[in-house]
This record gives sequence, C-alpha cells and structure tokens, in this order.
Amino acid sequence: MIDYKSIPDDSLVAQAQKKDYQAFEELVKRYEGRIYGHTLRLLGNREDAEDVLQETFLNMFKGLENFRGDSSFSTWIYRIATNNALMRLRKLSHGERELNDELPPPESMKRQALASHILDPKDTLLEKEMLQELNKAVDRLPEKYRTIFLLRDVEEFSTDRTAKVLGISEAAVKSRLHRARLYIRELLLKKYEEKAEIQ
Amino acid sequence: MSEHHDCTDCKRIFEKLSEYIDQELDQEECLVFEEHIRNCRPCLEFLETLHSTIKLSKQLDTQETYRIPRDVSLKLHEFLKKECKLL
Ligand SMILES: [Zn+2]
Repeated sequence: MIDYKSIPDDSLVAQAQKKDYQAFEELVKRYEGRIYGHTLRLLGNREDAEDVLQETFLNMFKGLENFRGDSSFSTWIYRIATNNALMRLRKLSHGERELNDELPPPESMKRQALASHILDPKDTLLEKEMLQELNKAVDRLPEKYRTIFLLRDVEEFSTDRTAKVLGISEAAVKSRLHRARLYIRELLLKKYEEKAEIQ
Repeated sequence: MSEHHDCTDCKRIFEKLSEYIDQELDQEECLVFEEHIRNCRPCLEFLETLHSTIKLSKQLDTQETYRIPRDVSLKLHEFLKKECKLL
C-alpha cells in the first residue's frame, strides 16, 4: 500500500494526473484547511467560503491535466481559490463595495508620539480587543489592498509568492502592502485614542 | 503633519518603512535608513508602531474561526467524489 501522506506535492500531482484519485484526495486533504481559511477571510462568511472551497478543488481536478508546474502546486491552488473568491465577492457586492477604491493618503506621521506599547498588548483581554479592532480594520480595506494584506501579513506569504498568486508585480505588492499597513495602523491608533479619551 | 516631518528625508524613510521591516532593502539603503532612524525619534516611534501592527496581524492566522469545521471537510470530499466521477 502506498503511504500518500509521505509523498511530496509534485509527485502527488504527477500521480493525480495519471488519474490516481487517492493522490488527488491527499492533495485536497493537505490544502483544504488553508484554502478554507483563506476563502473565509476574503469572503467573510461560511456559506460562500464553503462554496468557493468546493469550486476551487473541482477546478483543480479539471485543470490538473494542463498543470505544467511553472509555479508550485501550492501557488497554483491559491491562485484558483483567490480568483474564485474575488469573482464571488464582485458578484455579491453589486458595486456596493467599491472594490477598486483607493485608500486615503495616510495622515502621515501624526500620532507617532502615542506610546507604541498600546499596539503591543501584554494582557490577554486587551489583546483580544485589539484583534477584534484589527479584524474590523482589515474589513474596511478596499479589496485590492485587503487581499495583499491577508496574504502577506496574516498568511505570511513572501512578496514573490503573493505576486505570483495575484498575477501582479512585486513592486505593486510592496506598495499596496505598505499603504494597507499604514491605514490599519492609523485605524488602530485612532481607536485607542478614543478609548483613552473615554476613560 | 508636524513641522519636523515635512522634511524630505523623513518622507523618504516613511516610504521605506515596510521594506525595512520586511528586510527587503539592499545593504546601502538599509544603512541610510538606520542612520536616519538613530537620529530621528518620530521616525523611530512610527517604525515601532508599524512593526507592532504587523506583529499583531500575524496573530489573526491562529484564530479558531478560520479552521475548517469537520462537516465542511466531509461535505467537500463527498462533493468531489460525486462530481469528479461524472467527468
Ligand atoms: Zn525622520
């Protein structure tokens, strides 16, 4: 009996291309968790994330015979998932969410005097609160920034890999990521200024 | 924007904060960056809060909410078995 768990991705792909369904299933098992988390983050609700998850692996099954390994399997499957999720997002939004919105220019260097420890919470309650605020801030990012922020800073993809998943240049990844981070930093600090005023 | 931060040096540094944190600057740029930071407290503090924001973001990845529920996984495998056989 073949132990599929110990076979590396590219060999599994080769097996799956030869119609070995168990090899395909092992690839699904290996990536379903990460892909689900990724689509849920992008879409924000379980139903859509689940649909896109199914769609993605079905697309993968259909596309396997044409997969030539120009990028890694992992990059390829993320690209399918991201495209599917973004397409769904566009369909759902009906233009409500301004998908290609630009971010306002950062209020720049303001507020730097705020103690940096507020973003470095030591107690768990504050940390939980901060994470909630962070989630809200990420939700407010326009799509083209949000996807990059999620891939780079949450899922910890490299710049290179993010560029490949999204089919854009590394320079574009870097500059949008920087804008996104500045925006989130500013929102978080604002939130805490407000809280400090109330107290 | 405070008066101090209208200076072009600070603006240049400001644009490079992320690349610095991500260690994507080349050696020379890195030296210039660090030289500035050493002597400019506002830029240093900005760097620190940005860095903290990024560190906090990484924690979003470990949140329970984003784990795949068992029934979602089972449904996925059932779905694929059925659909792929039709192809
Ligand atoms: Zn400065």
